[in-house]
Amino acid sequence: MSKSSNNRYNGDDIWKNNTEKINSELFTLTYGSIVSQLCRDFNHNYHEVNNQLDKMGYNIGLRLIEEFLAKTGVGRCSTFKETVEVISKLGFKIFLNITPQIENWSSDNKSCSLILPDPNPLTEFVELPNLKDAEILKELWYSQILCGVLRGALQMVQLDVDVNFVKDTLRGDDKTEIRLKLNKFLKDEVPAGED
Amino acid sequence: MTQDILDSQTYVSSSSLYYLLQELVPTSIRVSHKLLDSSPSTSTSTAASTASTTTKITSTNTSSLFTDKDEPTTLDHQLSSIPKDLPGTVHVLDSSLLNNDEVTLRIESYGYNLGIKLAEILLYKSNNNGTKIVDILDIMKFVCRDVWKCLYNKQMDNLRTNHRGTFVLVDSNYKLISNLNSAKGINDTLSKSKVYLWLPCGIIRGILSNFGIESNVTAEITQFPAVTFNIHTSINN
Amino acid sequence: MKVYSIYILNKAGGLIYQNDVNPGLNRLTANDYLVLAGTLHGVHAIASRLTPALNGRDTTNPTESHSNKNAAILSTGKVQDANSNKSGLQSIETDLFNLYIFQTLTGIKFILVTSPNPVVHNLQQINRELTNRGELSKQYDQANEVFKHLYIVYSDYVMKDPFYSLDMPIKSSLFDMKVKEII
Repeated sequence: MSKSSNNRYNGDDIWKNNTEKINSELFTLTYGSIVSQLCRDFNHNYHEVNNQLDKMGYNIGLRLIEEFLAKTGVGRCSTFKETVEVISKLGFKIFLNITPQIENWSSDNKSCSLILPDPNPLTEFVELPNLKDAEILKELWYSQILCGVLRGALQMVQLDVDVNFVKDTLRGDDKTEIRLKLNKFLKDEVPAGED
Repeated sequence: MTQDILDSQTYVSSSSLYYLLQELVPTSIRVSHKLLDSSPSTSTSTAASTASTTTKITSTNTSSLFTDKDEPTTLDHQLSSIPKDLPGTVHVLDSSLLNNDEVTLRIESYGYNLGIKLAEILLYKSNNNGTKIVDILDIMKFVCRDVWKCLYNKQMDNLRTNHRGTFVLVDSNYKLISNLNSAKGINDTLSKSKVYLWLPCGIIRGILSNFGIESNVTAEITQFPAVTFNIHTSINN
Repeated sequence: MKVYSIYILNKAGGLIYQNDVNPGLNRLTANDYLVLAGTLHGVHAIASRLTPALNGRDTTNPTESHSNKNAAILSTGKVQDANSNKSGLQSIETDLFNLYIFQTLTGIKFILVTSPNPVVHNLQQINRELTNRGELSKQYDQANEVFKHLYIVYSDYVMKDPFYSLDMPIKSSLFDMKVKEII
């Protein structure tokens, strides 16, 4: 589609040439406005907030996957390791312009962690009001929407994966960590004709 | 943590913001539905509510239907108790709540909060560019130019005023609704698009309020996807 | 190559979009189009079972070739072909029209009906066999190019329409317009 130059790494080329960009502050503020409104709406029941963010993300993931595939041309991954690498170096790169570190693989290679850089485009400028409300640090997963997006997008390519946060620097943890666990590859639902 | 963060320009894909905004209206409807559902008057019991009837007595309007744990969304689970509200579908928009005040106020306030913060950041930047804002017309120009540019990568197409505090701003191709297209035809598209306009209304009201101006902002679709914003303030200019 | 019609099928083989961009084909009844869609979906699937495994014309393992493709994207950042239709029915060629099938990883099928391959005159046919083959694959490549743009437009204008319900028929004048722009 576009004339691409050589020797770029990790989705840089697609990011540079084929992606319309916006100022990340605008994105950060919009997301922040949504989360804070949800907290007020649900009267600081943070589990509800997490769930609502997760739903938003899931719906986004179901649709975003098509753009991702159309604009990268990624094919079926042969291992979950490859899947996670594609998510980090292409998915996160193209949509949020970050490349999370992949760490902590389990011995069966079915679960691993994505470590988000700090700050990331969702959490820049954000500080949780922990003085007024101690619960928030224990219960709110501020960036939960990402888990929904990943779960929804992977579902569409026939991967049943658990995705959840285990650490968040906003809560005072040392890093922001999303845990992924492959439950199963939905073989029966794979469209015919792939191989 | 002010200066260098504001100066360092970082970017994300505009799709990301678009997907996020796309979910605003459905989410607002779901939230409203849940809140109205959990108020004691309409206790049509769903499976979830039966378990929590005991705690209901003490609760005043809150959390009787609220969960106390995180539940991951899955493909075959309803997103709310609105009929057929499954992931990937758009039945939620057919809910009678679509134009309910609860929902529109909520969407407006997403915009309002965003507007307040956006004004600060953009002002900081335009001050550095030497833009001076002295009267209300300058503020409106700021909305038409800087704010719209930041949000939609284009300027407003027209700005008019009656010099008695009323302003009319026209965007002849409003980006957020230009993609909307209901399978049920243009009338359905128009009626459902209206609710999406509360977000920019809120943004404009938020920006003005950051300048200390109370206002009332409404929007109408003149010729799809052209949108006219009517702003009423009490300031004579 | 002239494109006559474009169809889109959902994962279940249901016809969700049809656009006769250029005149040339006879029209079928609405029901026949649904049957056509369902039949192509079925034949595509059966064809993939018919395809000889591994020791066929290509010795490369299909999943391996996918991985190579992904590795190439990761290392160069260049966009690759999003078509995941490897062993299913890919094209039908007749004297009067050609038909091409593109499938995404999520199971959506895009189908193009186009003008037939250019005719090669009898005398030169045998001698020109090589160039002729080049001509054929040229049309195949052109079709693939159209698919690539179609998929992007689909992801930008159908998926980003908040009023569009997944797997349902696409009735969007904006999408129609964008499709026409590609052709």
